[in-house]
Amino acid sequence: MKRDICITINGEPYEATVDHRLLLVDFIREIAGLTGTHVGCSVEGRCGACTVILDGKAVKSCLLLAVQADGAQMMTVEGLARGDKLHPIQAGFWEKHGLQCGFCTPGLLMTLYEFLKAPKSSDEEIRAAMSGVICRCTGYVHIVEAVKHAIATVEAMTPEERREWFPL
Amino acid sequence: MYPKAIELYFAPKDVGEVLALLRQHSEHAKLLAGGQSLMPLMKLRLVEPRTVIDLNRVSGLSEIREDGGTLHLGAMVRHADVAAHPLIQRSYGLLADAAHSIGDPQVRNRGTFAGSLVHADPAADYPPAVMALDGRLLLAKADGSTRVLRIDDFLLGPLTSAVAEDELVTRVEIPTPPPRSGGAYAKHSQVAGDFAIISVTAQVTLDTAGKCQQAAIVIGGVMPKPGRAVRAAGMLRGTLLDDATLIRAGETAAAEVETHTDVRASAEYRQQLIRTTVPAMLRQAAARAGKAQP
Repeated sequence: MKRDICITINGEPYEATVDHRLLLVDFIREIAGLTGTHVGCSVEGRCGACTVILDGKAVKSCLLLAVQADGAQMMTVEGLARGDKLHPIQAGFWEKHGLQCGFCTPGLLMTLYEFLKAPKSSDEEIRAAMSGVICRCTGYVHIVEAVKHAIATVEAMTPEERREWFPL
Repeated sequence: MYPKAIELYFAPKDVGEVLALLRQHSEHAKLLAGGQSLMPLMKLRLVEPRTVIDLNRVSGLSEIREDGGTLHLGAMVRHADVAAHPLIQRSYGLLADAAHSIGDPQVRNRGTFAGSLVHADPAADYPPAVMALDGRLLLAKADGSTRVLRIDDFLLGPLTSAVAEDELVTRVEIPTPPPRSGGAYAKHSQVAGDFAIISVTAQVTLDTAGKCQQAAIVIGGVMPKPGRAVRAAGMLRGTLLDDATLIRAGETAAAEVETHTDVRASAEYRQQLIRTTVPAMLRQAAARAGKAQP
């Protein structure tokens, strides 16, 4: 019924003995104590608020068992900033006011983190990239502007800077 | 919300190990692929497996390869890989279209090709696409035997496929379409990335004069599984796929494929969508066929 696992989140290893049925999102929130990752719909993986980066890909952490991520490298919203310096996607949201209540924001940031590794700049492509996270406040207009702001920042980066800001 | 207690969890490394586990545990076990359908069902307690066999660490199930006139797709190939693969985009366009219209980026990062076919949702994107390309599935059984099933024989009904409790789909094979072939897929749904109210898949092969040699039209989002518009496809043969013919094909398809009413749409609305979408998909398929290698 239980298994010993170790998941590296934001560079920090978290070891625990967990029930097979424990969801990855509950491991992140309750065992690792990283409550920036949110639970919205909680059932069918529709809302995307729980999106995290697992081995380089954006995934909904409510649709994985924690045991599946044993040995994996992950990043959550807490891993984006470097000290006081915001990640380009966070800076975009700050500059363009890409949020209102903020509940979906961690999911959007992590989904867009993957998108920004190889961004496409049309409105349609940006909107398609964030179609897996539901925001009930903004109507998405400011978020699209935030992404464009982030794309400009990322495109001006040196390869070394890109590796630093996109480690996974 | 979380699943019912799972007694045993296995993460086998190869197909042989999976089959050995199925020999012992098949009765109460579920194979976990991408989990984008199975996990919600487990959280809703509609599926309560005592044993979960996780396929995500099984090697050799993720290849995309073309040889001997066949496209081989490993069972664990993800939607994102199908959508982005240059070979699939070039020669199996409707498959890339179908993969791209599944769910959202996160779902496409996890969900798998064979997982979707095994799940057999009549409104899902891959089943009609694989039907239009006459795909077949390779199944491995716990006792070591294997079998091959045509997609039409594999899909039995809503959420029901022919895979047995002690069987694993290892690969899907798609015959490479002849030269001057092209296909297209599109769906109508209530919100972006949702399951289809109606989907239309069209695949055509042209002769050197631009006349239609062969055509397949498959309608998804109907019950109990995607339906072939055989008469509509048949009337295209020998024509230049001119507008009048395409419009008649749309009307014929709407008349021959049975539609149903549910919470998403009425039967009449579904018919209307078939009528208007079939010509559009045939037009796109023909345009791609025209651009394909002569």
